[in-house]
Amino acid sequence: MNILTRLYNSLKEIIETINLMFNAIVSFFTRWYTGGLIVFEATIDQIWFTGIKGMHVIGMAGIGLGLIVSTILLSFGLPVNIVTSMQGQILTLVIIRELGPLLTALIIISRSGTAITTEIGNMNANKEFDALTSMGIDVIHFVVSPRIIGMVIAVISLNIYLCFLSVITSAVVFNFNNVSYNIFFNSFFDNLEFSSVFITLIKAIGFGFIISSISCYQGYRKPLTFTDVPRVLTKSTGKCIIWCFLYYAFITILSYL
Amino acid sequence: MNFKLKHANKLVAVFILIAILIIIATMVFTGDITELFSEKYYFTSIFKDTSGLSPGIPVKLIDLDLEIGKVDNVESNNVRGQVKVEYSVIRSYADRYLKKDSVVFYSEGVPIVGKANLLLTIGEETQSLIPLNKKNEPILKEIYIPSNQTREGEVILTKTFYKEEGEDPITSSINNINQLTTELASPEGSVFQTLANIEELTNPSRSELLRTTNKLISDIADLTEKLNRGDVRGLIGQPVYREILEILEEIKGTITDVRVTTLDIVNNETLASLNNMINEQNKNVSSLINESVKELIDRDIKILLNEQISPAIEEVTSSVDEVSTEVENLLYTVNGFVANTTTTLDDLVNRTSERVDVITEEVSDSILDTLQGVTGTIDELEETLLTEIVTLLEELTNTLSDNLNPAIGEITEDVVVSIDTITKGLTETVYELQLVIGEEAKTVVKSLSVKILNIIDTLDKISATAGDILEERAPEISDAIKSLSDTMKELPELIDNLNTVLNTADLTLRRVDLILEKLDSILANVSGEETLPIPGRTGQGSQRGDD
Repeated sequence: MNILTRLYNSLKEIIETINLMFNAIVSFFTRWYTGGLIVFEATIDQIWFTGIKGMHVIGMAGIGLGLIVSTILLSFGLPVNIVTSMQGQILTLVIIRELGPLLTALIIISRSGTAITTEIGNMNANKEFDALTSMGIDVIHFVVSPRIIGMVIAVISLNIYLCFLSVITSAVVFNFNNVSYNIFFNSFFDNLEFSSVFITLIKAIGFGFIISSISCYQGYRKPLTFTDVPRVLTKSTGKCIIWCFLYYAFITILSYL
Repeated sequence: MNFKLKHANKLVAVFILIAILIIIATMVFTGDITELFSEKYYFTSIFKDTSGLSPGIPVKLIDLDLEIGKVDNVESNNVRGQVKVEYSVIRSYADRYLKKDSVVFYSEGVPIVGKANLLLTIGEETQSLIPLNKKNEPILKEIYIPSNQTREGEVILTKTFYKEEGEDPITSSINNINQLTTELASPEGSVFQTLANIEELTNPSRSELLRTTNKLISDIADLTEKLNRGDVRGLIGQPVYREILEILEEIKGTITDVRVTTLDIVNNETLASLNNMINEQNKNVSSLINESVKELIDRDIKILLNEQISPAIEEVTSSVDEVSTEVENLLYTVNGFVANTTTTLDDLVNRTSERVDVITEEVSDSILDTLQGVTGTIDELEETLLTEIVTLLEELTNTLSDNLNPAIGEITEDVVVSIDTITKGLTETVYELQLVIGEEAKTVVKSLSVKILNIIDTLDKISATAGDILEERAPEISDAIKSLSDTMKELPELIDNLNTVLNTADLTLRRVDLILEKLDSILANVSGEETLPIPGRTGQGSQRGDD
């Protein structure tokens, strides 16, 4: 297979993934009356699975991130008993704007993205989609839409929790170093800008769409056998990571221009 | 499964709700959520030094440390490296705190610890900064607030901050300079009073001279016309004699007036007071600047450099500009005054204006150079300030004296020219008299004309030396006047001689008259005919008899 063919296939995959994502979103919001309760419960189920079930991982990651960042900041040996302007800025930039969303995305890819690909791949291998389609059930509306929307909501929420826990952990760490909570949060909110919060939400939304779309598409796109599922799973994870980083880089560069 | 899902629904709802609450709380704590839904005013300011100033930096009230807005845009103004900063302030804060005399500062913050801010001062005036229309909406889309890095801002800050602390030395010096320039430009000031005095001294005497001269010329013309008609016998009598005596008395009086006027102009207090005043102003300005600069050096130069010297020098620059403008106005006033006497001063004033413009530009350039020099080392600051400012002000005062002195010289020249005109008229008169009176009178009149020519020479000397009056002053002028007065002393003697000549002429004419009468009678006896009337002679006897 030459490069052009690979390039063509890659481009085709991208277009088909975007097409699947848009079809699912449009279907979710325009055909809510068709099997609305089922779709709603599937969405809640996805949020439950990705969000609430993943809280402990996200919580640990958030605490860890807060510990690391605050420890690094304190290691600068800057003035005692205060949070410097530079420390405040680094805290908001690293936790809220940059590492928070990225870490959340990586955790979701490894935990929920793989799960979605495996689930949809196994349904595909079992010919369940053929059965559903033969019964007149729209697979995109009933299977893909709840996963994409649920995943996006879960990623946004988890990103918020991760950042929140990181900041709280940092406050505790600073407090252990004789910086009062009042001083810490004053400095933090002084340096936190609306644009930072907005950008982190934009990143989280993008990550949610990218991870869910790629995971669904890789499991759904063509008939699979059971032996194909692990291979597709690996491919899906790789693509999710690559596209998440590309999107992350794009938004970051755009935000600093 | 059903139980699980129902339970999951609640948990998911709580899960999402808490996330939303965290986001809202964050927005509220950062203060951005209030900004998001608040009506804003948009302001612009000009800064020169904006290192670290970027969009997003908070705008605070300087006294309350309250964040009231954010910087929206920072762009180059393309004018002398100025930077235009656009920022928005929440309307409620702007209405409440920002007044006409509000000023904006840029604070880079304490290194490492602090954060850069735009700081707005709370105005003391009652008038709001934001002009509103009837619907209570702002008229302008963007409102300009002066920064502390602009001259307007410095003026406002100086007024605000030094109101309570008392005047600093620089402000005091500037005030003194302003007072001096105001006094110089004031219509009731010493300069204008001096000029008015000069005008008072010269104008009446000049008009008197012209009037007398005109009368003299018309009288002489009348006399000449009568003489040309051949009416010698009728003219050379008592009336003519008295007329000539009156004319000579008038000439004498006129020349005395001229002498007094010239002496007044040259020796009286006008020039002396003008020069004294200029010297005094020069000394005052120089001493004030020297004292101010010494005080500057004595104080902490770095603080002064940052906080006072730069604005003060700009203030001095502006004061010098004002001085230049006022000097220009003064010169235009002098122009107006001198234009009444001679048109030649127009050129002088034009040249003076151009000169003042050039000097003003030079002064501005030099002070800009000085400002650049201020950014150098403290030693350079000392030398530059001491030398540049003193030199510039000396140059300014020299220019003032250079421009006024020639003007006064021109006035003196004008007076001398008038005297010259009168003496020329006298010469012509005497020449005509010489023609009329005859050979005997010619000798006397010749000597008179020689004397008057001496007067002319003397006056020529005065006019030749008039340009150097301010350099050589009284000695030369007094010598000339002395020579003039000596000549004047000889005038009565000349007039006596003239009287003698006229008496002789009168006697001669009487004799001629008698001879003519005898000739008439002889002719009558010889021819036996009636005496024919001689044209121009009949009735003259009766005229003489009437006289």
